[in-house]
Amino acid sequence: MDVIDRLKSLLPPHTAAALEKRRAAVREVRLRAGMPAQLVAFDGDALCSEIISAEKLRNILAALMDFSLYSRENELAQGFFTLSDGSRAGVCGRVSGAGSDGARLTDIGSICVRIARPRQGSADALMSTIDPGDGVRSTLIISPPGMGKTTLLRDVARQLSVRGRNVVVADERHELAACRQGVPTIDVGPRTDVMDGCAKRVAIRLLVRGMAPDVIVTDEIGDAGDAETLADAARCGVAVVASAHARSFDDLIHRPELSSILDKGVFEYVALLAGAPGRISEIRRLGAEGGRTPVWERA
Amino acid sequence: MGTRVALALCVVASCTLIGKSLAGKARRRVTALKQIADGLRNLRVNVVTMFIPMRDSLLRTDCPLLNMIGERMGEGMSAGEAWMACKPAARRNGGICDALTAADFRILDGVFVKLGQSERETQDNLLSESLHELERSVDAARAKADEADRLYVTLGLLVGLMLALIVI
Repeated sequence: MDVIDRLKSLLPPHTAAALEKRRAAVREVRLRAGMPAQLVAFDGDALCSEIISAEKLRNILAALMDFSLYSRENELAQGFFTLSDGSRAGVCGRVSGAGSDGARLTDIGSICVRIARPRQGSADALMSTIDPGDGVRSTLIISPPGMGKTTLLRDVARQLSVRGRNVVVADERHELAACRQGVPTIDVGPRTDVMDGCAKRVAIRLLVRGMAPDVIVTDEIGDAGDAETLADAARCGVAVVASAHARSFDDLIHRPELSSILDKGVFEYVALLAGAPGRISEIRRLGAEGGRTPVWERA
Repeated sequence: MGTRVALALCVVASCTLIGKSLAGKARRRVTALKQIADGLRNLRVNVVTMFIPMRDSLLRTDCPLLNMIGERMGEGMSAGEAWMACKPAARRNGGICDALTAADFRILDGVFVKLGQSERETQDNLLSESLHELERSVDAARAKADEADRLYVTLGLLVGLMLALIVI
């Protein structure tokens, strides 16, 4: 059962019908206690007619968490949890205490379900750059949120794997492979190993040491420590394909965490998704030395 | 005379066996409670140490009752709802829980309704306390079963002897 069918079974009837009607277009379902559901598509959004009560919202949340709140505790502390098909449910509510591992959310009043849509072939346009035949080129994929970075990364992992590369996926948020009991539920290729639910810097270290990969694929880099970990992996001769939030190439080099990763010379190419979800608007090659001001070249 | 003695012996043996079978329900209660307690012990490891989601945690135990609840959770129910749905069948004569008492069901209601509804620490406390209560119930049930064994077997024997005297 995919996330839309699951939500349909939990939502009031008219809202479920509206969701079914917009099934192909909808990319987010936003639920707020005491408010109607909001269905967000690429071409706009719609508010449904029925109000979602606080109790209904609690029931939906419990069902989405498989009635196992304890198993999502660490994810909830980060403000989201990942569903079994790789879709992500962001939550918002009252923070009753903040520890070192994140906030403790109680009285959750809003849920935003971002629907995962694995699309085989979405990385076709990028593959000749990433894998021209004589080795994998480390590539950073950037875009604003909601432009399909994760979908693209998944397909890059799958295609590299199909081409005979040993791929490892450091899937901190369970979004790339949506593993269930250690087994990916989304096709990420026959030669792909996934370490999920683990901080990227830990996962990458373990994967490089233990799995002898050709390529590391990871999502949403930019935390402190990512630069060093990725540089270590690159020094071990492992190519890195990763994604990061940035609106443009300028935005990328002006963000200190990301520019420090570029400084380390980890990536050879940067691809920008813009204009429409999944659309690669430009690919640039970094200068040979990396450096604080990268030399952009159209690839 | 020989036939009468043989018949009398048969009557004594039969009555003693009837007594033993009457005591069987108390023995089955001990077995059922022990099985559930063992299942909850496994469940606690799955939940508290391994963070396995509730349905899979229940299905991974060796307890038929917990497995049954896990199966029902597959229909989109919470553990509490699944327990309430399973309860009538489990309670019925010949069901998994037919030997349990109302007090045992109160303990089970208390644990199953709250399963999966809270964070790890609270689940740990819930399962620990329920296990503690169940272990106390197992001890009490075992003592009761021993008592019932003695009582019904003795009663069976006495009734058998009386009947044997009448027969002779």
